Amino acid sequence: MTAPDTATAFMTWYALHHERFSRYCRSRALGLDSADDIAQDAILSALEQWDRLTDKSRLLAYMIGIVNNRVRNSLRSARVHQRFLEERQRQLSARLPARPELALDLHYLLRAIDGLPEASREALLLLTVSGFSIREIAEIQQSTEGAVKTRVSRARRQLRETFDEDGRDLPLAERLRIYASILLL
Amino acid sequence: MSPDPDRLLAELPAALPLGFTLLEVTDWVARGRPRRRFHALVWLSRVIRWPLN
Repeated sequence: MTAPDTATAFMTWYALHHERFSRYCRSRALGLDSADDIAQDAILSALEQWDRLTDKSRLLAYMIGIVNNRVRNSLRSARVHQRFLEERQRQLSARLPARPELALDLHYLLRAIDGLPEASREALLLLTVSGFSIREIAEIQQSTEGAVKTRVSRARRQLRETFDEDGRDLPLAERLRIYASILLL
Repeated sequence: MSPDPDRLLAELPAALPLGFTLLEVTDWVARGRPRRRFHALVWLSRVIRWPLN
């Protein structure tokens, strides 16, 4: 049990960040059986730091770091990684039943994002999926706004280059074949 | 046609399913972290399954 005062103070702070933090968790852990456990672990770890940390703004970076580490550890096993990819694709398809091509493109996009350097991936997802501002991301990453802009710009360029590899006008079946060959690597 | 990553990035947040709710978080926070107990059978099954990972 958490002391009521601490729980209230923590929740008052956390509620302001909940939506953006949960979006980040979804973008990183969608498809993992332990997705909610990872979020819960990050939140409870931040709660344990609540009384120790005077600068509460560091807590968000702390939670995001825990999510990154837990996702990385969970995906060390090739078997789990393969199941994660299949489940992520299944969940995106279930979310977009009328738009299978978009679901597949998003799955491919997430696959390409997986391959980005960690700091770039974090900055890109915090900006585009969570909706944090460049200034807020700079605070989270303990960096400058210029460095965050560079990371995001490099990440976008890398994604564009990845997608340009199949820059021909392809029928869906052909694209499926290419994506399948990439995913089975 | 090659997909445009910027357009896909804009579609991604809405395509991601909703995660845990604020109500669930309130419950997690109120309960705190469950105390870990040592279960010999759980430990043994993890050791046995470890090479399969």
